[in-house]
Amino acid sequence: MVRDRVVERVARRAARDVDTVSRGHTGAWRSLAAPLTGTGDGTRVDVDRHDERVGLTVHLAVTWPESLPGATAAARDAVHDAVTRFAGLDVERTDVLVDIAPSAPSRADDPASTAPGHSAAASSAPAARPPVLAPRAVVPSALLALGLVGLGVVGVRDALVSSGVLSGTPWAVSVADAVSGATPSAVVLVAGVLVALLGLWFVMAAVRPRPKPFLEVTAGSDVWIRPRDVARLVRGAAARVGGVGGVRTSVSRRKVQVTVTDRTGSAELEAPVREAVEAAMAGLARPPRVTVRMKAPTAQPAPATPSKAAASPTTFEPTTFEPTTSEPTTSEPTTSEPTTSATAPSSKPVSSSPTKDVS
Amino acid sequence: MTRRLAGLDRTLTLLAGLVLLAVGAGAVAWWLGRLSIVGPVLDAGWLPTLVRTAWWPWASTAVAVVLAILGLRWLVAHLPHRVPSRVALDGSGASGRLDADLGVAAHQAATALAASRGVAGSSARLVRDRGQVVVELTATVPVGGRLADGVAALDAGSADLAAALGDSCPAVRGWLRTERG
Repeated sequence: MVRDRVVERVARRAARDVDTVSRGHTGAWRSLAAPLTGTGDGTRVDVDRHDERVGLTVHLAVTWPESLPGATAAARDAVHDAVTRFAGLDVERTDVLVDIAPSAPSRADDPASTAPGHSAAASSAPAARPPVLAPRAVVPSALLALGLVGLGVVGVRDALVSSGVLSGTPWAVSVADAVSGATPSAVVLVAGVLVALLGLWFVMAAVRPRPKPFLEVTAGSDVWIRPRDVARLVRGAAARVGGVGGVRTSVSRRKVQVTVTDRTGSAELEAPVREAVEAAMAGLARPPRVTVRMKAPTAQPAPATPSKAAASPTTFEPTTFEPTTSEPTTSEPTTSEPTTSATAPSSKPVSSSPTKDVS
Repeated sequence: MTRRLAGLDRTLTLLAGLVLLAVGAGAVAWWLGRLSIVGPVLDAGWLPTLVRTAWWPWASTAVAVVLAILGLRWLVAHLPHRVPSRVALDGSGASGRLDADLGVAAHQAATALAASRGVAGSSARLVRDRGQVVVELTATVPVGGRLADGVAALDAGSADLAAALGDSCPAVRGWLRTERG
């Protein structure tokens, strides 16, 4: 009779001998616990035995990004063969669970590579549907739900008043008395208009499609960018043009408006700013239309060139004076952040180190 | 948010909106004297009588409590649900289940992203988007950095996930972010 511990060792050895299975520790706590558990690495085996039949659960680690189906299938076959051959048991079932997949070495010095055995040209994962914000009906429906809860509170309160627990008059009675015999006063008009506007908002929220404010990026995979990130990109590009003071941006999916404070006092900056902005957005699949507006600084009244400004599609406003700022001013895009609901990207700040946020 | 819940939201919001529109328009029409069926004084004498009946408090309370429970249920349904992260790999079958943690795989892809040139930070998360499980990878490009670096890193991250998970790989969506200047 072969002991379970022997079966476990045979299975673990077989799993570890598979080339693609990592022999390293699978986590800090397991590294610390290794002397106590005796596993020595990230591979462990649970044995569920019934006489001569055995079920195995193998926990192992695979070096990222090796093929997990390939590695786990190879481990399953190896464990099955080893236990059958060396322990003489009938293996009914072998479950293989990949607990941790340690990272491959850093590829910071080689941006073209992705990982051992893979390249950026390799097939990408399936693309998701184009991202959208939460439905517009979420807020009205939340208000309706809160209204239902409020009705419940009113009902309970009236019941307590009717039973004598609370003093006062049931609100339902007060409302019924107010409604009965009412006349078309100004209050009715105002309330009617407000209720109609609320209803109109509800109807519009229910029938309008979900907002799609995000911009697609030209890439081999499915990549998107938020308007506010495009705004930062555009602002940085415009601010790097010589002679530019402050920069304000407004970004939507179809239009980018850049307002630049011109330190040179001429409209000569319009073309380089436009070029810089368009170059910054070159990676977008459908770059928005760019509008550049120039503003003169206050310190040095600009010797304007009206004829050139008139020929330009942009507007030059020599009579508008604003204080020159040494730092680019900021303006957030017109589109709001995606929500953190399960249908949209998180608004959490991206950490400088990788984080896992599994919701 | 599930499609079913989104559909429920839209339907109930539309119904409530139409009712509110009708009530509001009716009130305005009444004020303008265009609502002949109501008259100059609202004849609802039955209402005070109704709410003073003996059974009204208990019946209305029961209905109100049921509505409150439905309202709470409706609100709670909007809270984000945890996306199951375990995924069955190709080759699972009667001989055993081959199983990987999608969250760990996404985390590994994010770790590789952070190590890419021109990427200042990265993150990954699992979301359920319109019924579809999606791995979202985010790469943050530093101030003055090139979008192309972030794109290359996200392409590589997506390819890594596809290579590692094979046909079991869910949809992957990359997000480019730019650091605050």
